[in-house]
Amino acid sequence: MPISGLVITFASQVEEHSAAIESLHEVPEIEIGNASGSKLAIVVDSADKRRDQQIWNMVRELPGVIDLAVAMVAFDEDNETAERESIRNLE
Amino acid sequence: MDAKRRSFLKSAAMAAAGSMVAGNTSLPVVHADQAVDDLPTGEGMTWNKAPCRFCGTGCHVQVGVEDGRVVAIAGDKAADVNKGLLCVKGYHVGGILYGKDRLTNPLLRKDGKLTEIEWDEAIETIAKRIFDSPQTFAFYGSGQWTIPEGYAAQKFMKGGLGNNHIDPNARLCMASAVTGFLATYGVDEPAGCYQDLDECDVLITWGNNPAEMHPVLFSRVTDRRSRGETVRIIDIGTRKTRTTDAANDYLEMKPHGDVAISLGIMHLLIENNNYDKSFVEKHCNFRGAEELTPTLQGEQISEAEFRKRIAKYTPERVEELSGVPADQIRMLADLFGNHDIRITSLWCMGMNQHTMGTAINSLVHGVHLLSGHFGRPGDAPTSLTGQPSACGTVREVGTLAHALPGGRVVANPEHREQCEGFWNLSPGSINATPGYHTVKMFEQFTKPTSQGGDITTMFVQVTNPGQTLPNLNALFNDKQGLEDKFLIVSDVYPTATTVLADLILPAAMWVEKNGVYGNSERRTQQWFKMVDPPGEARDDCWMTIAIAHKLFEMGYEGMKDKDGEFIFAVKNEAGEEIPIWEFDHYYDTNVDKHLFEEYRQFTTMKHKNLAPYDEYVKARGLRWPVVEQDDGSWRETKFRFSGFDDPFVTAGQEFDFYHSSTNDGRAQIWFHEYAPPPEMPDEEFPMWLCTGRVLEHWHSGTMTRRVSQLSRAMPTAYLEMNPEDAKAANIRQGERVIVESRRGKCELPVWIDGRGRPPRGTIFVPFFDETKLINNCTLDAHDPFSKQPDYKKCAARVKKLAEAPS
Ligand code: SF4
Repeated sequence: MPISGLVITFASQVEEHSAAIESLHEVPEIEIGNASGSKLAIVVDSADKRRDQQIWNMVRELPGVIDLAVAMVAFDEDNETAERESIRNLE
Repeated sequence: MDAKRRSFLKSAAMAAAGSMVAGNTSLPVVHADQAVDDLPTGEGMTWNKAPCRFCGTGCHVQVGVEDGRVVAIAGDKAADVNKGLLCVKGYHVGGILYGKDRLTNPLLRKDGKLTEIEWDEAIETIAKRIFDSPQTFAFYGSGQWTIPEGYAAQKFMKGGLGNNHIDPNARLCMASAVTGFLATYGVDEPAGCYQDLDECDVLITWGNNPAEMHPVLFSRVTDRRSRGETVRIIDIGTRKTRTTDAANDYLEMKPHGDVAISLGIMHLLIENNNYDKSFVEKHCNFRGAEELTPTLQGEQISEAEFRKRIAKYTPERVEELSGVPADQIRMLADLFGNHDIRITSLWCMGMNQHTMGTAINSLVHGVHLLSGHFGRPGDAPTSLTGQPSACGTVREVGTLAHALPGGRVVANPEHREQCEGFWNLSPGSINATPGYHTVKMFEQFTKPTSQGGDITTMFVQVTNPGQTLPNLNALFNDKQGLEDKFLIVSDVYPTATTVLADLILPAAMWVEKNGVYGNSERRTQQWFKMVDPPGEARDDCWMTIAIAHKLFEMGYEGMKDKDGEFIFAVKNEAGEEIPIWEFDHYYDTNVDKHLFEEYRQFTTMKHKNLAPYDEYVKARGLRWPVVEQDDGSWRETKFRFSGFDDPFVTAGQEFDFYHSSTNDGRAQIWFHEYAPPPEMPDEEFPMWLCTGRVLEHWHSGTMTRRVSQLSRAMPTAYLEMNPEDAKAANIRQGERVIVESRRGKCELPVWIDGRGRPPRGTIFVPFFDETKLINNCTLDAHDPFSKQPDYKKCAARVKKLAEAPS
């Protein structure tokens, strides 16, 4: 259940991108934070890593978004290990 | 996760993101604790600083630790390098500690099977092999070694064993940058720094893809555009990449075309009388290679001779050689001829992994020197590094087969004497003959002893040559079946290298140990151990010291200094020796600090002065030379050789190349004749093959492929192909093919119009995937000076899997 603090950079001032902001509001896992200039803070709190990735991709594809940077990521207790074991151990 | 903890983490994430938004401007380097102010502690969580474990950019992160485990990573907004930003790899850097298959016990191959053993047996086994044949032992290290780790390995080999067979994987990624700097300025490492990226008007990327390989640096540039500044990006490359997407101009060159392009720019600057005469007259010499036996020193040539040699590199001739239209060469020359703008050049492996690597590095420096685009903020030729401490550990500590710490070399008797003095060794302890460079070292290891293969034991630390060496079949896989050869590998996960290892040692990584790295802009950065390594995993530096002490106990003379003391002896305040060779006592003292302070003595010899260890504890890194001020504070240097910033420039001088190889304070502008690549496509192998990296994975993928987000985002290596070539060969998107060269083959899925877009006749394969070893195909031909192999161009063919002979 990943939680991440992200910074979206828009091509111009954040308030000029109302359609994108609206799309962000529609995603229940996203909480919108401060904006300043072309940058906007959000937090994504998703149920699993796959959903986290979907949201990440969706945000990156929004019109006007030119960059998505990570400010913080929190790990779960049992997490972040690859689903695949190393090929060497499977041999 | 309970609701209270969840809401705490959410507020921490929002605070981190919010502070980056608020701090949209550049931030100064500040002292350690300031930056964590707005990252909430509580619920048992503490934060501490560390540089990122991956590329040479040297971003700083804040590491959140709870119950002995890394639970959060935040960009460090107090860090001057990244100002709170991280790329997708840095964001997941905490996850690399927790792959399911961490190595946790020493494993010895007995009757073909890996068997768990105790550390004592492991250390004894290694010491015994070295004791029995010290001169056939080789140590293969890394630009991922911390500075103390590399320094300990260097002292162990060159001081303790009198054996110079130590070389790092950085030989494969930036050795030509070193020789290019040495040939030009007489001293290694860039004069400029990342501030150049904030101030340049034009950024030229030479065969370089910083959008994926140094993403945080690239976003420093693109961020300027979002703030309304103008910066023109010119991408010179052999394929379109994400960097091209952001570039104003894309100049597509043929492999080796960079040599012709730089000669063409210099030709036009001279021809049009458009070069910076005053800068050249005051601060430069002209230099060419000797005809019979070329050296890094070269021979002096006159400006008239330089003009004569460069005359044939007309834009039209350069177009023929490089494939870049003559008008574009004129455009570049006009830009360099304009002194009112600032130009920064960036390069990395595209330029270094080149059989003319030293030449092309020197030529690009020459373009900047001839045009006077040097030494003002924004005007700089800058080589980036791929590993976090390629500069700090390899170049500064000198963990190369010919080098000693602090820019000294083994071949120079005075340098050996100085080094023996610092190490309190008997005169003559250091061997005067350079050891084997990487390619030679592995050739000698994989060649049967009876046929002259005189390396019989190899210790590999913090790197994965079984995946990253070129021409793997010849340089690595041939080890198989050679009974008397013994491969020791210390790593954190099983790798392509551990497959052939006889002894595997489980290593501690990143914040499981203390460390110091040196990044691409001469910045030295320190961190402390924050969590314990799993199982029996231990620090690499400890391993080296424990082996040294075992040899000392066995009576090996070299492990004693002149006074009979252990060469790594550390004493407490009462003058008693602390048994740091016993792991239980390794952290009784800060071994890193002891080694760093000893190493620091060497750094003043080539004006690479480092500050005391404790200064780095307080800072987010400091760029050397770092010089003490009258008030006792320490000042870093951003722009070397420039009078306005560099404390070692003679007072009153605007520029001073104080390590000039001609001893006259001048830099060298080199002429090198264009030479064709070592292997060209032909009828049998009609395509150019280039290898490289992707954003999501770091080098051989050992760490990043164990982070599920990164692994899922880029699960497998692939072959990039031009759509026209694919159509002509009846190959469709996703289809599996065999790519084959004269040296080996590799099976891959095809990606057409994917991340990168290669031109017709060329293919690209990333090397991160251990299940698809593209280095079976690459070439081990190397630069004559730097000995760095050319991974960027060789002849290959592509066949549909169904059509390929089995
Ligand atoms: S750019 Fe390099 S150093 Fe910075 S976060 Fe990414 S991988 Fe780490």
